Amino acid sequence: MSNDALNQVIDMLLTEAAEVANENESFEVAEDDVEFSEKHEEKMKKLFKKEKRKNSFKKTLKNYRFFVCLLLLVGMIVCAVNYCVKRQYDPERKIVDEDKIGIKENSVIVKHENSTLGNLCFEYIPEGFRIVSQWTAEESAEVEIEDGNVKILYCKVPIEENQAVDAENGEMVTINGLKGTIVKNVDSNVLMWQDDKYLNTITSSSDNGSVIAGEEIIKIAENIRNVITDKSEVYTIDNICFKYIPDGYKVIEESISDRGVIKSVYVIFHDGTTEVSYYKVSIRVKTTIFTENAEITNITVNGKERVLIKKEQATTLVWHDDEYRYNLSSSGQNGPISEEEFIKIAENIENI
Amino acid sequence: MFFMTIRDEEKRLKVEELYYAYRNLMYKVAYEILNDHHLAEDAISESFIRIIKNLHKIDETKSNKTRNFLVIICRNVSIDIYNSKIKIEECDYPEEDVEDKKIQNPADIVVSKESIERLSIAISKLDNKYKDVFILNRVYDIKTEDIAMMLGISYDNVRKRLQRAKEGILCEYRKGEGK
Repeated sequence: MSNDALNQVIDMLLTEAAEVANENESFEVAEDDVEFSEKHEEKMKKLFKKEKRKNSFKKTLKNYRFFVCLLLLVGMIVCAVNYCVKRQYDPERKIVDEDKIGIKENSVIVKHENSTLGNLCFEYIPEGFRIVSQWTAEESAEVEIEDGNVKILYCKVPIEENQAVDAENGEMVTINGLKGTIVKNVDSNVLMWQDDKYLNTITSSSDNGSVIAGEEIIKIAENIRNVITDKSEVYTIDNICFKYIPDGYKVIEESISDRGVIKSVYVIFHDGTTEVSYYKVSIRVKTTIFTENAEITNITVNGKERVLIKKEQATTLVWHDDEYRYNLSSSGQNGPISEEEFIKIAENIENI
Repeated sequence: MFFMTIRDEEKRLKVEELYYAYRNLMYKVAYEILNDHHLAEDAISESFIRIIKNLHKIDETKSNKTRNFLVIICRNVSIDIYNSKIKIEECDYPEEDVEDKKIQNPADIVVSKESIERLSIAISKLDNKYKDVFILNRVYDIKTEDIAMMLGISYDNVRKRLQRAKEGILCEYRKGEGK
């Protein structure tokens, strides 16, 4: 029997043995009910709610995919006809839906490629706050911003015919020329305003009752707008902008774990065969990189020194600053991405 | 359409069922490592965040296989939290152990029921850090990169652990043979 065939048989035996070992593993089932804290239960409920929402959206999309496609097709035809008609009557008209010029510094862009809402740009976010989650559907979006204590939730949904806003205790405000209402309560502040198609709301709340001031909420609202971004740019969680990502690569996973002193961020791109992953972790967490049979070189990226570790099946670039360790790696069925592309990606990572 | 939506809403999510079925056991596992109520709670919630991404690997809620899967994840998350709290470096494993354990001739293993039984005993004797990645890979069919994400360790680390687990099992198997 050849060595390969032997290894295959051993692998098969090991898999079978692993199943037997796992089946024989016994853990004492804890009989006593543990008293979990309210905060924990709330956190878990929120997690399930988010999962339920994701599931129901997926299910709806699956059940009605035919109608969705049909609607999209009709929508596209209507838009195309509308566009052609407008062009015909006003040939000088320049189509300026949104502009990229003038995005303020420190803006945070929430990219919604599959949504009719386009990319939302938050040009003002109060100090200490950051976007922690974003969710988007065909015509609606939710963006959650928090500073670890106070939560700010922005929602944008289409206006329904019979929708009414209870603004009895509200105070009238103007958001970029649009009429809105702000309702101030002890434990929450809610701002609502609508344009011709959508109802926008910003809610500020927290577990301990502290909220941000109404004026701040209004300032956030006044500084939300739609922008166009370069197609090659990808904005991900933790406000990271990948200004260059080769064609065909898509984000397949992004995750953030923030336990106060320990924070880690993962972003993984894939094109079907090759993976490019970006990992950032607090400096106090030590990481290990195996360098057996690796070619290690010091290179300069954007004027800063970094270490390039090249192996047959993977390329890794590591560097650090005072706060974090960074790791950019590529691997895949046919080996890593080319070094030239790899370095180009590294040169174009920015925290915005 | 309306009734279907209601049915979906009423139906408890699989992840929710798992939580209520195993939260006490997971708490016990986490508390044994962390010895802190709040950190153990954190370990449970972090475990579920990781489990959600691999929910398709779970067929039945109440089975040994599912229970073991949750325990493996929770144990590793707890160790991860424990290490980060006391600033322990992610360990590299001594190479000399591996060299000793390398099996010279894999052809010694005979395909039989007894061999499987002996190999399974060798697996159960492995250190948890090797056993967990090995079980996740072989029993739950989880890819190396997914295990790395799930356990919060690097891809290379998972690969090494898998390799060393295999070598450790075969070495233990041979030891038994000599007796």
